[in-house]
Amino acid sequence: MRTLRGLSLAAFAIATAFAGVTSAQVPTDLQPVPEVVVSGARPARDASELKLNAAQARRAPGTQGDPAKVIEDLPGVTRAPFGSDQLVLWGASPRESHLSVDGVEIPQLFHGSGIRSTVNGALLQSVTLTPGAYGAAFGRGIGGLVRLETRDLPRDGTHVALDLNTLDASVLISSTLSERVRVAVAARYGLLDRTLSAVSAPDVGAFFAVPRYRDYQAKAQVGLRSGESLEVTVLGSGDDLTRFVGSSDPARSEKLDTDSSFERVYLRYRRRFDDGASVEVVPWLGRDTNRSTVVFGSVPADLGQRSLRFGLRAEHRSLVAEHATLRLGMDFDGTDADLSRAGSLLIPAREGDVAVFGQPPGDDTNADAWQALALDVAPYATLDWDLGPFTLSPGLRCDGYLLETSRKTPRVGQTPAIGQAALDAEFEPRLAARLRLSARVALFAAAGLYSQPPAPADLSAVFGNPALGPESATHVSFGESVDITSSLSANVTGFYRSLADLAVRAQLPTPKLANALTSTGQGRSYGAQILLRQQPWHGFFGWLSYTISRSERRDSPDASERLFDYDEPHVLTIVTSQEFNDWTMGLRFRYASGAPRTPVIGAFFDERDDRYAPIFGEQNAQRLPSFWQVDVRFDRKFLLGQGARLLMYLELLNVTNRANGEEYAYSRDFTRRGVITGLPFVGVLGARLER
Amino acid sequence: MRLSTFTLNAVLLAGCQPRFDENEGLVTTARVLAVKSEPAEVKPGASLALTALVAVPPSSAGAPRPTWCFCNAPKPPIEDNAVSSACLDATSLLPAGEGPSIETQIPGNACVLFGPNAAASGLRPRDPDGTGGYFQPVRLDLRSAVPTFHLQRVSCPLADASSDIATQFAAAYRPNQNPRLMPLVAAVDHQAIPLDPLPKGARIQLQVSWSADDAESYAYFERSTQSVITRREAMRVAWYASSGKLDAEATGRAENDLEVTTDNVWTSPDSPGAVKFWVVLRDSRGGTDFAEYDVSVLP
Repeated sequence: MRTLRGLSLAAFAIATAFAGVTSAQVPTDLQPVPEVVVSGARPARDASELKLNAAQARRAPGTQGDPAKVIEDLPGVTRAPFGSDQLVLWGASPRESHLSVDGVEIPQLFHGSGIRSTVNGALLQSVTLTPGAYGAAFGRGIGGLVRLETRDLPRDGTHVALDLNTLDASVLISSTLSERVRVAVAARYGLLDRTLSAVSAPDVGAFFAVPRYRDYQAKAQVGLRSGESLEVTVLGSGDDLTRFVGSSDPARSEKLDTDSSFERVYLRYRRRFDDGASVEVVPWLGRDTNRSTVVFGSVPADLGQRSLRFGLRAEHRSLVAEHATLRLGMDFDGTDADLSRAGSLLIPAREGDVAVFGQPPGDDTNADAWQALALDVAPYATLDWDLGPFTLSPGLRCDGYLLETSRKTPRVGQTPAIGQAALDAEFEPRLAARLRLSARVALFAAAGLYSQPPAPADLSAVFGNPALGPESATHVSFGESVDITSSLSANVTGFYRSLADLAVRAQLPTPKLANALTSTGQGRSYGAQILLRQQPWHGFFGWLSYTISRSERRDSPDASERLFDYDEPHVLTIVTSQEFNDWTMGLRFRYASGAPRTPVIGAFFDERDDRYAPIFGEQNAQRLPSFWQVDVRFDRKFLLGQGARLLMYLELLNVTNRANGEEYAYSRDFTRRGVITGLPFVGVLGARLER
Repeated sequence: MRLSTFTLNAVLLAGCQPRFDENEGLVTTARVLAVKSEPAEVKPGASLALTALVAVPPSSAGAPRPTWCFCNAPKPPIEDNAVSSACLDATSLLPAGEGPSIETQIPGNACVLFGPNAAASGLRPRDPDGTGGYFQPVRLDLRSAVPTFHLQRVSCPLADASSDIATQFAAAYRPNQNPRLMPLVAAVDHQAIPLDPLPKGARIQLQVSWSADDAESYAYFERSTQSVITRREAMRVAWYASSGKLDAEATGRAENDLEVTTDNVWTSPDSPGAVKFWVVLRDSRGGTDFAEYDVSVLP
């Protein structure tokens, strides 16, 4: 293991050296050009990419002023259940999609309850969603991409933005320290626990786990020479959740105690050369921490993970011919994780598990502690080639994975651990093409191969499989975009994803040793999405998005196909916003099919545990009720003088107070079924002060 | 590795759950409430006596006879229930007897099918329950009732420990013994009253007890530290009545709670008549004792 870690560090050194070579090309003239503008052939943009300006997204109803939350309203995105942070893009499990800020991977986009994003919206420039079939610059994910870009800091003076609402309070302060140096700091603290305890019974936490969250950011921007800039950014986020339900029956007391956090520090160096070439280098370092304890009765389940994260993205872009731009890059990512786990094999739950809401986990227990190292060195190249109305972007990415675990078999006594290491190379060609039929109409298509390494948590010799390899996928998308007017556009996209080598639970009654998970899962999802989008026009903006899709999974090649746990065939969202002088009114309507659930067709009595247990029918053969909800937003601007501006806003969520069914619950003997309903009519009142 | 989203969602949604107005302790039709095995823990191939507590409310005619079968289908790790869904299929069942009490022999391969002894090298040992136990499923069928599964604790060797730990464990481990339930006592407003007859429409405090020795200490192999530690059994009492309303369906003492009594409150019906109580005491290793009481509610 130690030797292999040495090799890993060597790989890291090589990647860093690559960055050094790249940055050595920078000339030394000193001209203050803070903005980096990339020129060259126009890329055949990722077919399904959708980019939203953060300032506009912040005013969309239902986001509570959080631009990243607008992702939930875009095509290709499955509606997440109430109180969930799950992001399902084109039928991909949440873990299969790649989330990044300025190209730096973050583990979670939303705080655990899905209430807020983990990055302060006031610091964001744009939110970009690519549900699949993206280019070679990104990888390590067989689902989609969500990219947040932080904004350039204001060029003069000191600015403050304060936001206080019923969910949280946040502040952003930015200042220009000199002609070349600008800094900003931001912080947010969740207030929902205090808000609820003020309006509810003091012991509300015993019945409803109130999420507590916080995040902070800092950014410094330094203008160097002509066309050259350097940024340093710090991101941090934390969540915790506690719930304890005591009982006179020791078998029915429940406890949940979790906390998770991540931190990232990264440099972002950008440089544009006189010949139109450019370079961007982003080395980063971070830490992820997760801990949870779940106790049902006397059976505890503990999970703990501390990971050192590090990586480097470097890209050189140059005009290699009059109409051809070549992008050469390196995407390096490393995770060095210490993990421990105790409890049932079935906690945490995985996609494909069959259970009903509130069902206690199995009482089988085990324990393991292990280390895992995952390195991915991924050089890539993409050529953006303009051939008149036709733009072609072929690309190739090669992900070289090194996966190490400290034990390849379960621990027995004090016997020394024998580790496991595997090298895997995945060649992933990507291709995007765009054909402009007229000034207003274009056809586009994209396809590619994708892979992602197994999660360190899946590499346990007791609970997982240390020999798991990368999961893989093929994406294909195609469609047409039409600019109906200068601000109104329509986009229709068809997509197909096939998945292979997915890590799934072993289906055998007695799996092989260290094979509780196997790489036998397969899947596919296909469908079409429509986006009709009105850019800001006379104070109005909005969009209609509709996705029809089907997602299926198979746990082994000879198993029957079943619906994916998150499959929602129809998702419709309408977002509108209209300004009337200082007033803005917005409305959001959402409709989504219910997610699949496995029916309970009977029960038996488990005498030892003194409880009924469900007998299940065909997996995922029924659905939750369909969901629809209407949200309204009002805001009012007040100019306070001396450059100060106050924005008061009120978001009314679920104004029709529809009782949307979010889950099925059963009586203890499973003879009766009820529906757990989600968010009732609720208002979020807030004020934002900017100067 | 993030928290099970399923679990987290379950907790977040817990405030909006439907209410089923359940009275789980109310027995209105004949059903199996518990099974007592003697001895409480046996080695594979050993003989034992199994006795079912078949609850029959006063309004029902005669007690139906349960049929007993051993299930020989191991539970796949992907299933959440205590027994494999294959145990619901007749092809996985071996007849063991009929009647409220049977004498039988535990199958000799119980530690292979349901314990840590792998049928072949290179297979994953089965995980024990939270007390370190392995269990042979025994199915009881009663006319017009859902199937009941008794899980018979089986003594199996430690398969995933070093030889010195396994030796230490074998020397320290004492097979489980059934606890003994002391007589049920009743009180109204903390004044003791006879159990029979009972006043109508009253809140009656019920208490059962057991001896301190019944909550046994036992050797437990802790996998996270690879060491043998001593733990103490938790005790749990399930309460049932043929009419009236029990405040709690089950009460008990956690393993760090040294008390030897547990209480419940039964609200007697407003109308007089015969009532049956059933009380089942279980220790956390699967040992059981039970009692049935016939009482009358005064006019």
